[in-house]
Amino acid sequence: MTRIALQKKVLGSNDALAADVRSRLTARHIVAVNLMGSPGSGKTSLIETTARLLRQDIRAAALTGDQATEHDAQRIRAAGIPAIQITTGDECHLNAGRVLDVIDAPELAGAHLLFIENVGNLICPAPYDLGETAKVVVLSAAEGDDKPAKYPALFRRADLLVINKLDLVPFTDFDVEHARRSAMDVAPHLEIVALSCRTGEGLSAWSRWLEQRLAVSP
Amino acid sequence: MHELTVARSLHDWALAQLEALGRERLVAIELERDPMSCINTEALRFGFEAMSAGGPLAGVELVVNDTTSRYHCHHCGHVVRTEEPPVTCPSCGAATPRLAHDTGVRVVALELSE
Repeated sequence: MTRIALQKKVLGSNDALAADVRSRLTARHIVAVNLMGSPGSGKTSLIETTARLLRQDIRAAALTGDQATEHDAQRIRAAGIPAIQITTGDECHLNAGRVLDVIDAPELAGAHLLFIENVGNLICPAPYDLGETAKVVVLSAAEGDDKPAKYPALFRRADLLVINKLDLVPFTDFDVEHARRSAMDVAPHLEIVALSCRTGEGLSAWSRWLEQRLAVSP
Repeated sequence: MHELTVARSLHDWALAQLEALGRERLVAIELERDPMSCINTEALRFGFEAMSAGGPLAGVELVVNDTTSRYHCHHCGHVVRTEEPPVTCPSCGAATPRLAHDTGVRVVALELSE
């Protein structure tokens, strides 16, 4: 028996494609935000709402991942942001190859900010680098405030946690402070903003975070 | 689930290695699995077995060893292996350790028959 020792990441091919995406985005000065979270956490609503918030000189575009339908892309286009729907079929996450396939599409031409809305899922998107600038987890008040503790892998990779649907807090047992602590316990580096796309509460902090990302873009 | 994608990637890579090494039989693939990899070991084994059936990798054993997560300090570059995320970097004290970018499942050895 011969044993050959080596070090090879199994998803290494995804990482190579992600590096390609990243270099293309950097060359075009595009800041890409990978939005992850459960189905119904409000990822699409956040993009729709952001369309109304953005300064006029910032052009945004979006890629949206779902197993089926064009629903999200249609909603985002209706909000004024060019969008491409990526239907993943049996895949439970986006991967870098799917992003690379559309990175040169005309819908993205001239964009400064690219939202990549991942497939709704708190587990599977975690290990996939898409070549994004930043990862954002969206957690809604309807989901429960202990989700960071229960699904740490996604939160540990994220740069920002958006606690969404603050307007629903009075109708649930969701404790915003508990959610913050739960997130900080599993990912002490996380930045956190809490907001409501319906009432507008907290949206200025989200805008500031995006604008800071755009300001430091190479 | 995405273990099938990972199993396919592993299968194709191992097959290419077998050909590149000019060997006929791979006995085992030794893997290290990070607990934050979001890869279920049994689902990975099932996917690999299904993909290998009837081919050159049929019967190859997947030896999966769980490891601790690696955290990388974005300030000083120090890497620490630990189960829980460090609040501050044990080397420089900055509050910047993050789960290492390449966290996942890693092949650490191939066992080939003589």
